[in-house]
Amino acid sequence: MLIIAEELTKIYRRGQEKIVALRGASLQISAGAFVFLVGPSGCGKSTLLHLLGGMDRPSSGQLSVNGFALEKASEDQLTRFRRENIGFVFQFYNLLASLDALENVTLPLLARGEQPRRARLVAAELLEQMGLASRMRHKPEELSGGEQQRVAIARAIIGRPALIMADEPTGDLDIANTEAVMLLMHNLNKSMGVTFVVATHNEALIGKDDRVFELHSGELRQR
Amino acid sequence: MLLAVRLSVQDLLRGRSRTLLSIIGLSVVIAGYFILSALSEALSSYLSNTNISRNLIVIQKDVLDASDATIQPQVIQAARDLIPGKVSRVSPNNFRHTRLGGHVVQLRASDPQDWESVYHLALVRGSWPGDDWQIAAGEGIALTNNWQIGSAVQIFGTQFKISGIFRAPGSAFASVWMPSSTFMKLFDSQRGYQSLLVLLSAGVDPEAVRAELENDPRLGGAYAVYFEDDYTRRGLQFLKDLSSLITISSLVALLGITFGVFNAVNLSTAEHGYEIGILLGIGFSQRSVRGFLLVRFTLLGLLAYAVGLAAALLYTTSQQIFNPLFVLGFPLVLKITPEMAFTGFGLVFSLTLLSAWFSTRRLFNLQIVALLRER
Repeated sequence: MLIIAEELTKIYRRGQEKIVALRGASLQISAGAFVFLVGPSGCGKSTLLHLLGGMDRPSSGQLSVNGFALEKASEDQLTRFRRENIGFVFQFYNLLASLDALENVTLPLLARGEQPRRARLVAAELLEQMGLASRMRHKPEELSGGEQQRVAIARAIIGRPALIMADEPTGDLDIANTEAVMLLMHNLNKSMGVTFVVATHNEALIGKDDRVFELHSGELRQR
Repeated sequence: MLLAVRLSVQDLLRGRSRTLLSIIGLSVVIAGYFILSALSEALSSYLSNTNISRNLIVIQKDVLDASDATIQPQVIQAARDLIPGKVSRVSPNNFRHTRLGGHVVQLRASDPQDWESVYHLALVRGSWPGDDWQIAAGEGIALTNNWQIGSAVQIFGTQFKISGIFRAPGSAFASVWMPSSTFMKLFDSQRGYQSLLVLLSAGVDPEAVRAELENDPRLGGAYAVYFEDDYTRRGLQFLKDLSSLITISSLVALLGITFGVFNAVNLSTAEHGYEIGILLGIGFSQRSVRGFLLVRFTLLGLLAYAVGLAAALLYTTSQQIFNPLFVLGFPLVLKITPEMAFTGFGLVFSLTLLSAWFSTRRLFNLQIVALLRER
């Protein structure tokens, strides 16, 4: 199993108030799966995604991703874990505005200590494969939403991670771009064997072969 | 490192107007620091070059305008009679106030042999006057009027050439000197000398010599004998107070530079929380991200430093040329020394690094998710 989560709970504190974002969530996801986390806004999808991706720590419970126990990891270990295992795709793309598409895509390789010239070659090749050859020297603000999201996906997969976390990846796109992005992610899943965990409130994105977990008020169950 | 520099440069260029505002804000504080330091240095330098002398001054009593005073030959002789036991040298002299280059200047005259030993004039450039149409100028007044060796100066309708520039304590710093013979010719002075400077011998009781000279029958009660420092002490005290005030202002500027840099860095770091979140999410370590920020703020700090230093240099130079600064009639030469520039550089550089380190520490305590929300 790529992901094994047991009784994950996440509690946020806002002053005296306790907010339970996740209540005892357990799941197992095998390598190469395409998994959806669905549920209404504020149900805890993003929280679970962030925990699985090592961007946040659970308040209690156990979590292992690719054999790595996240709940016990130090900050440096979590950073290394994210660098080597995880790619992120967000609703608002989260590209660095001061860098062009090519430079944004090279970042994960540079974080691993790759030579900039080689990182640029790999990134350029990847962007070409994604149909962005003519757009790679453009800054994010000069790209359409669909193009920005494809750049974000390229950035997520360039380091060939075991797992890609996508948080509402089509939430800010029109129908045509939504279909293109979903198709791209499915193709990458099949061609590269990358596991995808996609959080969305749009159930129309779900294919008949996809695994689906539902979240309601922080409680997780498999559909 | 190259990536950090490229990221920083691109980031600074992208937000040009914000970068410009940050640079202006910081450079104003930096320029203020330099100007106050230069002012403080000018006053300190002036004060340290000004000694309280052990000379006595003999002048005529009950004269409304000091330039109308006269020293009779018997008074000079009375002082000379105290040589060598109580007095080492007697120097009769003349003085006038005149306006040169828009500033009131003291014109002084005595035997050139006394200039170095009695009046402590130290030749900096050129030579002492060799004929009747040559004069020597104090460093302060020369700088104020942009006089060089050989410059022509018109005094009371007569043209003189500057043969030498000297450095001197007290008001002599801003005076013009000529031999007594030149002075007498220039003013066709039949009255003779106007005052007498008496240099005491080492080890004597100054008050006893002063009293003895003042009570000499040859002075006939018409002359007063003062300690030279009575004149200068009051002026010096004022300058010392002013210097202390400016030292305090320099400290305030130093605090300003500290808070200015910290505030700019802190604000800018907070504005970059989102980008920091992205970099951490991608897998850059906190150390790398901190490195990026340190490079960015160092670049910003160095740019602000360069602008601040240039502005301060421009100000001090133009101040010197167009509107020289005078305190109690003494010109103050504002100069930004290499030491000041180096200290300023060290301050800006270290404060920028410290501020960036502190402000990123706060951000790193936040979860990446929280940073990404700071968009």
